[in-house]
Amino acid sequence: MSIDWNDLYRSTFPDLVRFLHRKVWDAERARDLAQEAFVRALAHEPKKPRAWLFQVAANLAKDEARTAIRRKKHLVLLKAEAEVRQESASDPASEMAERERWGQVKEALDMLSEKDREALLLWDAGQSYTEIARHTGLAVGAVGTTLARARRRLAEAHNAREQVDVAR
Amino acid sequence: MSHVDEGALHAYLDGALEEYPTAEAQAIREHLEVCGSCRERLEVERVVRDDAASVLALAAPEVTVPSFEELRAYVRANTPRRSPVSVQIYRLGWAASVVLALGTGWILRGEPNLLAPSSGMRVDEVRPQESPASFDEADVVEAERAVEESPAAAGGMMQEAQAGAAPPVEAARQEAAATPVVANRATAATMPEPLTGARAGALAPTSGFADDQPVSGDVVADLDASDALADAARLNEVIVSTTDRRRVDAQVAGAPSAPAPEVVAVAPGDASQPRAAREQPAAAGSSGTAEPERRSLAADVVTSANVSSAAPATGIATLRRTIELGDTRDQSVEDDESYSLVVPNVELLDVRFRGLGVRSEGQVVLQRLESGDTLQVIHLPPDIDPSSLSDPRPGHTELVVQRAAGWIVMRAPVSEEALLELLERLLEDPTDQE
Repeated sequence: MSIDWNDLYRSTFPDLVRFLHRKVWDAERARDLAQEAFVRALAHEPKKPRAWLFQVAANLAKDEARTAIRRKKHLVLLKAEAEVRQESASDPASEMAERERWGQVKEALDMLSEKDREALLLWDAGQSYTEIARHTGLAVGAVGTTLARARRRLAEAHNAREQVDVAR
Repeated sequence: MSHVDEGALHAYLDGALEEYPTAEAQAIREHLEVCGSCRERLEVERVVRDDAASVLALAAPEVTVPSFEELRAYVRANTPRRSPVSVQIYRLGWAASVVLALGTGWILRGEPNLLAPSSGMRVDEVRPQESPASFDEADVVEAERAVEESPAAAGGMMQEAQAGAAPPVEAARQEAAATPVVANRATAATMPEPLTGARAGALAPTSGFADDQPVSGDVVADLDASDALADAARLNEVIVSTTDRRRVDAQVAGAPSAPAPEVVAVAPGDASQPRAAREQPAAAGSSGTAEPERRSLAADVVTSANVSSAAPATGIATLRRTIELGDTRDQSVEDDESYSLVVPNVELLDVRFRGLGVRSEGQVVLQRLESGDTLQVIHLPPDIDPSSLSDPRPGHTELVVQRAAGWIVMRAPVSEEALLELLERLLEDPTDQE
């Protein structure tokens, strides 16, 4: 079966960026890594590209965290994207508020176990239970339980953080 | 059936029961219809699920999907394609290189003087560079400074290269033994007026240093070859010079599979011909009689310049652009994608090779613009990530151009338009400049 890469790209790229963003916490870097994952996918043409992409993206994010090598983007992006970035960067106050929000979410996610966090982020990025099971090594029947636990802990951790902030 | 566990409740909420075994999914649905307790728990879990989704939504980045066509073009341009025949030739070439190296070692064993150059210098002074693995801005700055501080050496350490596959250092050493090694220390004083244009590259490499300095430095080479074996055979001159005895600023290096841009002004490599005679046609420049045949690239020049990132909001006026020059799907790595290393009719200050061992990591060309500012043209093989370069200095504009043969990174403290114009001149078909 031939793969419509254009369609797959348009439907999966945002999910992949969202998934990566919660791992590297840098929107631009997440976009770069998502592009890199697609570059590799186009070169390899895997049979199950969506699952493959998320696996590669997870590995890229892991490498990124491990090596923390500063890299600059070199892939060609749309002009519109650059403009969007410029606009968002032109408002320091909103940028600061955004970073604070991200910091709160990151703290809450850090309270989860690695497997719970991975399952939750994959689900949020649009992966099915079967795909999450394949990615994490869980049984399909265990994905729901893992997600239930992860969601509860995330909500509780975030609420606790908000209460601390209000108390200040 | 006993009550539904929370995992199944979340699967129900997520619409994932279809991924469960059919009988199990059916049983869960039926139980939820009849069990009030489980329906209550279901609503509790729905709130948990929604809360978690709300938290995650707080950290959802705004995503704009870049053009798929550009991504596809990038992949095509960067995926090496080799025909079975060329793979075979490549392997044979590799094997032959090993045999050649072993054979030469066998022949030369016990006769170390064979490797001693006629000038009396030791060949082991032509050694691999103790350099960082990748380009560093400091090196470029240092090169600029050296040139600026020493006008007499402005043309020093000029190197000309043609074709991407430079021979291994071992081969260079052997070739150094077979051909005259010129320690041209006197020519710096007789350096002609500032070099302009691509033709300048054909003039004699010189260096400005004292006679009593030991040689440990730069290997300046004329290369005219297209594969590793041919390189080894055609390396027609190795000129040893130095400005710093601690480190080698350039070396003969190059991955056999990494084609590099041609230098316009390299004289045809005929080692049997006296150097002066070989320089003559190219030094004459405008005659063009010695020009190798080249394919026109005029149609490729900046047809679709895309802004990849704009000036940061921090106020540092550094502009970075990445340019894709059309679809390169038909330009295989074996293509003769010719362009000059230097921007024509701009004063050439310095050309340096960078790399570790046999692995070429490109060249840095420094040229002086009419304004007096320095233009950097950095040529990288396709497998070197331009992002490994350090940031351009504040106030400098940067263009990153992707070619089938590698990357061109141009940096100068000029406007984007001015840099684009310089890029067009760089990529101009050299035969059109006559």
